[in-house]
Amino acid sequence: MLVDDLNDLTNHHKSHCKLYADYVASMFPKGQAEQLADIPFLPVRAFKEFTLKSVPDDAVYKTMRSSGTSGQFSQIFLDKQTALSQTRALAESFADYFGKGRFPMLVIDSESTVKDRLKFSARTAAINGFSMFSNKRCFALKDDMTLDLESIRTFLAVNSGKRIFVFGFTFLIWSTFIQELKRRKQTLPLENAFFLHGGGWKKLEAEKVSNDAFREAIHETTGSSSVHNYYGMVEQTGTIFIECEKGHLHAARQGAALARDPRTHKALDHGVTGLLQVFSSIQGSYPGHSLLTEDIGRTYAGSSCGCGRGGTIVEIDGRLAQAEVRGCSDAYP
Amino acid sequence: MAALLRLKCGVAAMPIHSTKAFEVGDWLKTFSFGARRSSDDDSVVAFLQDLSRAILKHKEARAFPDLMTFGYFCRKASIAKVRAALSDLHNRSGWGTVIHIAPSNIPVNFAFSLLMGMVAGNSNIVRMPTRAFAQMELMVRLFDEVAAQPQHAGFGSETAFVQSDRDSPQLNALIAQAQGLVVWGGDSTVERFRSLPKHPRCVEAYFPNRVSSALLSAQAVLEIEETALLSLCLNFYNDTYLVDQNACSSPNLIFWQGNQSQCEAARNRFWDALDQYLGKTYELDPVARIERSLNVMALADASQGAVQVDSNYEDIWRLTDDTLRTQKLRFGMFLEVDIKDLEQIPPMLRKNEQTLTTFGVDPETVFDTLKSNLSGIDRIVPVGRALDMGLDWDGRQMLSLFSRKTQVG
Repeated sequence: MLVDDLNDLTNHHKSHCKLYADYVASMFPKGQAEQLADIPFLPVRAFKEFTLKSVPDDAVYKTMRSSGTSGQFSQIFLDKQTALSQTRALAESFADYFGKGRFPMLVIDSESTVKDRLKFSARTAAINGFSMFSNKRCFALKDDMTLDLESIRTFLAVNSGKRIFVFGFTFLIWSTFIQELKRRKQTLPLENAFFLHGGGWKKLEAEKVSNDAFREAIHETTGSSSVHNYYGMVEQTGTIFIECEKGHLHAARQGAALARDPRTHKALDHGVTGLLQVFSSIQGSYPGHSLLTEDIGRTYAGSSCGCGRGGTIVEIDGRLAQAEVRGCSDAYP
Repeated sequence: MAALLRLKCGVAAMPIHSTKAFEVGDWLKTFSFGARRSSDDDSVVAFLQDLSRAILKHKEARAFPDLMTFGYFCRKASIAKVRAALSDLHNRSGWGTVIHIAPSNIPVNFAFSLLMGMVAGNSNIVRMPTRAFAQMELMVRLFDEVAAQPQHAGFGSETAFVQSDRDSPQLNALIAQAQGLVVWGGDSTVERFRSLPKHPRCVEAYFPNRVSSALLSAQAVLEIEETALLSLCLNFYNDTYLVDQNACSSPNLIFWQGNQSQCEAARNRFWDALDQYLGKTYELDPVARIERSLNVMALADASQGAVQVDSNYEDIWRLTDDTLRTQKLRFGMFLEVDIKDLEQIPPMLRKNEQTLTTFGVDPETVFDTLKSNLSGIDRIVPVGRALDMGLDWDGRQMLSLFSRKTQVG
């Protein structure tokens, strides 16, 4: 049972991360949780402001970072076991949607995004993470972020007949790939390809592009009708929500979600809009198994979908606007 | 006798110069660097009076109570009161150009800083917050409109609103020449600006982080009628929740004076009433709500242990561990300390204590008690007046500091 696994993790982190234990004791005086809503949670930005880890320093195998809007970044400490669990969970989800094996991967980004260590970002982490499902990669964009049609065509010719895995950030796929193909009046033979994209709709919403319009435009320019959005975060790598054929983002087998009232932080029923809380039963080296995000959305029971997947469905509306902090303490930006 | 000591021909229109434009520096061609006026120059009063009118009658301005407050402050009568504080005003003039480093998160603070510079007789360069606040832009627009009127010639070229990078070479160069500098910000900001080279006679004022507390007489809180209780809540709200308890003068340490049972009863009465009041009027931003939880984590981190937080009221979170009083408490977090007599206050005050607001205890009485302890408090005012802005800031008379006196006879 997920709740049992999460309870175990709460106890594990309480005994291995003092700050987490003190925080939980301060904010969640209740004991063992009987349902998801009772599991103590950390605001996801806690990892931006505090060092939270449940393993000794010398057991840290990898530190993940995500840059934030305010210049602060999250620090996520992974030991070997957690990193392995993340890889396994991601592989399981991926196989469930796209089948086992590795594919020629067309990355809608530039190689400099993953090469330049200074530019390390959520985008870099995502590209590197999903590259484990590739047997070779082609970067669709030049370093100046313009479309490298020549390289793409060569890559597709070499891999003709194979299923191509197209991966990228939603907005980049839209602006540098789809729109650019349209502008140049070009199409690409990607009928056999599947698209996996994430990173949020904010910029597309500003351009009034719906998910349907996005899929339609991909079909128009590439012939592919296998387009899947995903929702995930570096603070819970491994357990992501992937869009099924019916257009619903389902939680991984090791994950779940619920919404909370932004005002009271009380848990909400399925279908009611609030702040999303995400669960992941595989995060052992840092207390990231239950996180309150700043994303606004709703949840639905997985069984309501009909695609056969049981994972909780999330619908994301967007992110909370940055608070306008009033006051005169530490002022100079 | 008003006299313009130095005047270049200037243009009046000066929106906020962008970071880039500021660095390029073309704006300096129309800025009268070093310009100053007599401190009793009545054209300043006339200008501010027209600015006041422009703000108070503007429809959009009404949505911003802070801008309206500033508008009221600029009225002729109010400025006359400010000037009256200096009996030797006629012997005074500005120092020249004062640079103001405005805080990034109190939208109209820059305007008060500028006003102080103007009333003293200085020309002013205001480094604006990077974040765009609607009331800030509106204020600059109205300022420009008034400055463009022929009878107010001069103020346009004596005022510049600019934005700049944190380590702008242009800003550093200007600070090296300016006759005055006012810095609002955190301790690290203050330290940075203090260390910059300045004009040998540069007049400087720094406003680093401060904290504030409130003293409530338990007996007084228990004895007042419901209507007085409601107005106490409103006043307390204006000191705290109005700015998410984020201003330097918003109290976060609450002294309850009385015996134990009185304090307990008064506490319940007050917080109950405030909670009801908040339910109707207050909405803390969801991100701030999240930050409030992280504040608890910071407290746990600082005290290396679990924190006792009474969060029975949605927007009033209360602490009792007085070792936490040096920690950052905001978004409706209060540390309560019961005291029997006023002598117990000084040892509890923090090194950067600024304002003590009082209810049921006369500020004079408190001052007399604290005086012998020479505690660092700058203001003792009734609850409800914590955020009042005058020209006495953090223990300094700004008008006197930013004007030079010519000794005559």
